[in-house]
Amino acid sequence: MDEPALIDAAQRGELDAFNRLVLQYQELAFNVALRVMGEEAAAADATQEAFISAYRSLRGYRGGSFRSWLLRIVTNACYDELRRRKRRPAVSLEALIEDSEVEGSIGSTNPADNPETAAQRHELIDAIQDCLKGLAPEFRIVAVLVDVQGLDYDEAAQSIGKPLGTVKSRLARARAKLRDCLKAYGELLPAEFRLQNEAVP
Amino acid sequence: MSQQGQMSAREAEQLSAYLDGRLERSEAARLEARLKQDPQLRLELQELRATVRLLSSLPQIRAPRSFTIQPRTVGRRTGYPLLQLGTALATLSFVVVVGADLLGGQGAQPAQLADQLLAAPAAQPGAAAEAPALDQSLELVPEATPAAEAAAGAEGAPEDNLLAQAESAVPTGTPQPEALKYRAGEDETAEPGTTESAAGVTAAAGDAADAPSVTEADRAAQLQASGEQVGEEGLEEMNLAAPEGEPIGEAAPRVSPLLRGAEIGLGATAIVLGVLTVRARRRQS
Repeated sequence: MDEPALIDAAQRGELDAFNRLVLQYQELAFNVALRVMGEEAAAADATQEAFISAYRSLRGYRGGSFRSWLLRIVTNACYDELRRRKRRPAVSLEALIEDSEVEGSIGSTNPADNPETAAQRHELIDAIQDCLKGLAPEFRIVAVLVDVQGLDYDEAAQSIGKPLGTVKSRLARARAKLRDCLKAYGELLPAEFRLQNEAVP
Repeated sequence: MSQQGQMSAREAEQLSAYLDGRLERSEAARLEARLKQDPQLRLELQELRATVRLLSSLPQIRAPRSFTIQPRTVGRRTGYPLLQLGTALATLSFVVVVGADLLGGQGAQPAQLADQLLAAPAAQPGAAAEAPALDQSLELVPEATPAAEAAAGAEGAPEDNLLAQAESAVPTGTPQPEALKYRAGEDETAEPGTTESAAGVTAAAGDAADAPSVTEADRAAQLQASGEQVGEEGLEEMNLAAPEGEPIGEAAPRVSPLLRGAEIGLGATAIVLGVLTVRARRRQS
């Protein structure tokens, strides 16, 4: 069954059809939530809430990009989860690092890496994640959608429910802040990513 | 731009959009011309490009579990919005009914009483009062109906008497023990056979203060039944009735058992639904 047929069946209340959509999009939804939340447990909570919310509001889907529609719900769930966790701060920063090591960071997904290289890549991932966390949520979400997940501007605009111009300006500011933040981790950056002394073409 | 870090927001936005190929052709051409001349700007662009590359190099993490939804997960919460709505509606209805009860009891009914007393006999002063008017009087101010009937039975009793009765009824607001005494005395003398119409009135009012008018209605009914021509005597009856009109006004703000029952029922429903809503909410979280 193709996606429109699954959506149609899910809109008629068929939970199995909706769950097939969940399986199709859960990796994307979880990864967006993970990069926005910065912690796996929080990301899992936000993702689960997002899918439950999506199922309940499925009748409100009126066509267009289902991925954007779903990501909008995911980003809203992330905002909610961030607000909840701000009220009850109990975030384990180590969890993401350990989970990344176990679940498949750059290092662990490349078996050819020697231990030293794997360790460096883990540190680099942590540095990027740390810089992302330093951004305000509205900038972080745009950077995650466009630069981490590779959405185009239009999809990102639909996903955050803002005009295209807002996406452009938020993305520019997010990139500039991330660049400044990453410079502090210069020694961690691979040669091709070294920013400080990069040759000007 | 000449100094790194002093790039304006517009320039940063242009560079960012240029990286993604989202700059308009003319703007892109101008920016490329500047990039050729400005090494600092080229460095900025290069750094942004490297930043984007770093971000896109972040690995996709496998979801730690399946996020498929179980039927009980979505089924359990479906009642919550309904409970919320039900609680809101019950509370709103309760507030409206109690509010109407309070407002109606304070001022609206004496005014209605006066209007009805004026309207019913004025329409046909010499004949028996119209049934609809009587019905309304029975519902709203039960005491007024027998008085109106008495006036009608008196064949053209002056409207002034009714006006006086209404006026005497309007300002009253506090219960008077005399009325209760009067009722007790009159009730004993009331004849069972002549209280049919009054019985309905008493039942509708459900109030001790109705009694004086009930006996008055009995007398009027007797007079009508016997076909007596009531002249001065009838007017005297009416004049006697005038001071007795005070209990009429006192009875008006009283709440009918039906209204009271509705208030209690709605209040209880709102409380029960509220408790259920809170429990449903707790189950969710």
